Amino acid sequence: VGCPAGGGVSLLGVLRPHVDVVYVALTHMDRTLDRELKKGSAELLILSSVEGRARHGYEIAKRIADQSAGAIRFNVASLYGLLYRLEARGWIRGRWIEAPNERRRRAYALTPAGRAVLATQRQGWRVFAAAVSRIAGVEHG
Amino acid sequence: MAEWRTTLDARCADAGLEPSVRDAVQREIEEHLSDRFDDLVANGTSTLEAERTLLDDVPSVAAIRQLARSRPRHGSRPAPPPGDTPGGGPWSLATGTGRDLRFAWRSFLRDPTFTAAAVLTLAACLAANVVVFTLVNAVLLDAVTVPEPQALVQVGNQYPNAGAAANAGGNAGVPDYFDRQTAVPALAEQALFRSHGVSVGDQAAERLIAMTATPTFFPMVRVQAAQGRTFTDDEGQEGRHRKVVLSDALWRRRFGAAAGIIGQSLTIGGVPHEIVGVMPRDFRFYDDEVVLWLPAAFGPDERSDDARHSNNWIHVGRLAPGATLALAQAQLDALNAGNLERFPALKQVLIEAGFRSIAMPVVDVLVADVRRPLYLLWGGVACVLLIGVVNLAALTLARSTARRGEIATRLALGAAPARVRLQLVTEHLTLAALGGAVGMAAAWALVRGVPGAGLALVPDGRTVTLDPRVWAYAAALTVLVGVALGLVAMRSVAPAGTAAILRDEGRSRTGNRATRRLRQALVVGQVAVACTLLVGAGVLFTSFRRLLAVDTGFRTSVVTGAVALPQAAYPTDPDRIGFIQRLLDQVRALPGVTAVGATTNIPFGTNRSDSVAWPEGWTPRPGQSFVSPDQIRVAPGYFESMGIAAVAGRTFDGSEVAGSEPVVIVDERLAERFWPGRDAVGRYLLTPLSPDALSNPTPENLSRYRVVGVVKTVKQYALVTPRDAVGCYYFPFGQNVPASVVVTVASAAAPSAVETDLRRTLASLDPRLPLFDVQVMRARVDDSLRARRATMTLALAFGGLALGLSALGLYGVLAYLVAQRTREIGIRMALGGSASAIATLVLRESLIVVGIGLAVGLTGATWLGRLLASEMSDVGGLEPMAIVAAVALLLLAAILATAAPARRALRVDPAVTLAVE
Repeated sequence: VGCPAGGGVSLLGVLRPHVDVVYVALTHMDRTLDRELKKGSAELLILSSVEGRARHGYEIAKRIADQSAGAIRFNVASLYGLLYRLEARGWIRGRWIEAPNERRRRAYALTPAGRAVLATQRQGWRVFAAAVSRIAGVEHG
Repeated sequence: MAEWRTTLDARCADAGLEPSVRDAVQREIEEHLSDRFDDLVANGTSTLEAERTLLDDVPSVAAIRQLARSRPRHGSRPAPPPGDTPGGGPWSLATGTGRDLRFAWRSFLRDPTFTAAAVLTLAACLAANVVVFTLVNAVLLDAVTVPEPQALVQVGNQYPNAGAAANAGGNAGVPDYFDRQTAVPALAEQALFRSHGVSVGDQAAERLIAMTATPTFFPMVRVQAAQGRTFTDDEGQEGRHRKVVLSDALWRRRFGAAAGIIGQSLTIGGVPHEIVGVMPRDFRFYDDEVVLWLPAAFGPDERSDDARHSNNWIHVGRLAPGATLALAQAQLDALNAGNLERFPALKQVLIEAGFRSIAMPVVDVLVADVRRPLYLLWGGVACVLLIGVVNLAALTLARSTARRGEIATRLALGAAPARVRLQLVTEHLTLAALGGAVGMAAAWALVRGVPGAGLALVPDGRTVTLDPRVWAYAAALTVLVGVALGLVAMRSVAPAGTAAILRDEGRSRTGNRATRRLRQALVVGQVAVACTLLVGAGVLFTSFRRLLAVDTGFRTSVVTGAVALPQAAYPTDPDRIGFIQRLLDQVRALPGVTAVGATTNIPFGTNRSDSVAWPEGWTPRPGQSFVSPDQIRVAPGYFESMGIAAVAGRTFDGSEVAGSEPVVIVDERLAERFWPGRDAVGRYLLTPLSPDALSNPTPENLSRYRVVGVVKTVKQYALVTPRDAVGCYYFPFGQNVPASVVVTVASAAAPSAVETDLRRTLASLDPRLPLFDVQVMRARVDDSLRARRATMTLALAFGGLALGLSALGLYGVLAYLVAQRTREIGIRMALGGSASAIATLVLRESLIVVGIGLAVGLTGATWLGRLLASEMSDVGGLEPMAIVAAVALLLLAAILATAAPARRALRVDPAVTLAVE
């Protein structure tokens, strides 16, 4: 699990060399895909999941799994590890919320800084995906 | 309990986490898994199956540990995105400065209150620092302007047990000079010199200050004449010494800067002297008032061994290449040890007197009086700057908290952290520069426009300018402050640190508490420093007030003016005493005049003379030293005109003439020392005619004076008399005729009228003689307090500034407290908390901070009081009044600073505050 500290092909422009262990279970995707790509995409996925409103961890994982039709799943450790790191960077903020007839949950909301990062990551992803498609298209042609 | 729960429990326990972290992590995972369980069951999975699935989902111990490590710590901040983004890179660092400046300017305009507060605080602190540095620069750094001043050493004879008030550094005699030329090779070049008044011109002479110096003087100081030459060696011989070198100022003033001045004649003291040179414009050495130099020619009397320990000269030498002060001192000590054996008659006397010749750097000697006060002021004003910068740092922190969002957004949008940091530093440097500019303008105005702003610490004739050194100092301080503030602001870009604690982090309670603690500590420091400064200023103030109340022992309304009788026109004693008597008689007849006298050494004047004397019948026991009381000559009527009362016997009445019985009057201090508990009148005072009289007194080598009166002791040199002062004896003019006197006039008329009458009278007797140094006694006393008054004024100003700044700091911390606890206050009010309880909340905080600050400050003040007492002779130590005043002022300031936040706390509307949450 994880990639060596200091690994650093900067694909999206927001990957940081010292981001350490992130495990994303891409069950139906090609395992040969660069791990960096997964890391970067995992951040992007989480940030976009909390964009609309604050969500708690389980809700985030469920939403990603549902929307990817089960293609992308997080295990508990990597999900919360990632959430904590994003929080440490100030991109999201978690708060315990108590509501009547519900369990106490920690909900994560996007911070202004996180919003800016999300915009940058989205743009990076768009550029990257377009480039991959173009290259893939040339090879097929 | 479900198996997955027990497994999670066990693994979390095994992970060995801190309990609070473990709780938080475990609870979150538990909630997550419970949610998943509910979902699975809701979707039709059996309970058993769901539990098995969940068991697989429970993270491993290693994963839990890893997870816990990822948790944010309190006070962490938005992480900067990678540096390799648009706008980053080293290239834009240099080119972005202009943009940074524009950005800085816009940010100032956005926040005018902050900008104004910061600029004004900085301006006040920097102005104060620049003013003091200007003085330090003019007085200390520019004390000696000749080449390589560090190598110049003054050698002075000191007799600490003899009660003689030595000048700084001590003086020397002519035989010393000749001895030391051979015996002290560490001083390669040596010269003797002294400054004194001379009458210059034929008709209506003017009184100027001259320096008589050995021809070695100019080569030693390494300054050449701008025109003509300085003295040749043979001009130091009697008969060839009628030469003079002019200062540039005198050449311009008296000769209109005429060309061809060299070779012309100038009458000095009634004797023509040939002008051989003019010195460069900026030349000055020891005495700034000197405008002409004369060669010293020593007669056989001055060179003789009998002249040893007649210390009438300043002896300065230049250290030989490679020689040190210690070497020079060692050679001096060896010379003196040899001389003790050469003159056994004086050996015991000198040992008892504690005689030693001390080598001291000229630079130290010249600033001996003002250096300590100036350094103390410098230290005080640096503290003021510190208080101001702490206030600004607190402001900057509050502001960078407010701008955290802005900075985080800029970082997230791709600004390089280095770029943002540089921009922050530029911004605060610009701010500091604004403050510096205003401060420099204020300093300029103070130095130029306010005569009492400390210029009195600067010797007459020295110009005080904002020279490059002052500018460099101001620039360095400004940059230092700017960078410091920039660093503080930068903390919102860097990872968590002190600033994170200081910063208003919002949600975290511990963060709030730590922030408050740090801000409280800073304000405690401010209050403490301000308290110490205020007490220090108060000590200077109260001791100054005490000085003003000191009884001088003489009438301060007396008008005084000096007259010098040139040797050429008044060659004999009868010539001189005749003239003086005629002058005094005519002045006595002037309207309004009640008493007239004259003296050689007017109190608070420049003349100083002391000479060894002892009571008849006294021989020193082992461990006892001869003493050298002040020796002053006075005319009949002097004591009456000055209002100095006789406590026993009589004063001089004019019956004391050459050939009559030698008489003397002593002051109470000397009488008490020589004849303790006995009547001094009728006893005899002995003085030596040659040094051997000290060890072997005979009628031939002694003078014997009958004491005819005892007068009140007066303050002769300063309002504070040194502890080791031994007193004074007065000789009558008639038996000891002077060539230069100060006339003392007690009159009912206005001082200006007295001066006019005095000049007219003198002119009617001899129109060639100038009346100079005309002053009312009160002015002489005031003049002696100039440096003291300036020090006190500056200290009070800085104390006031420190007080104001620390009050602002206190206000800041209390306002912060109220802002932080608005919700708590709202709840308390909603629950029926009384207004007084709320006010107590704020007051208590204020009291704690001020109380600790005062306690620390008073400890510092105790130390400062001791320091002041040891550095300044007229300060007795910690003055209770100063402490009371400082504490009262600080408490008053604290009340003012507390009032506004307390009022704000009382106005908290529970409905509004609670709705915000």
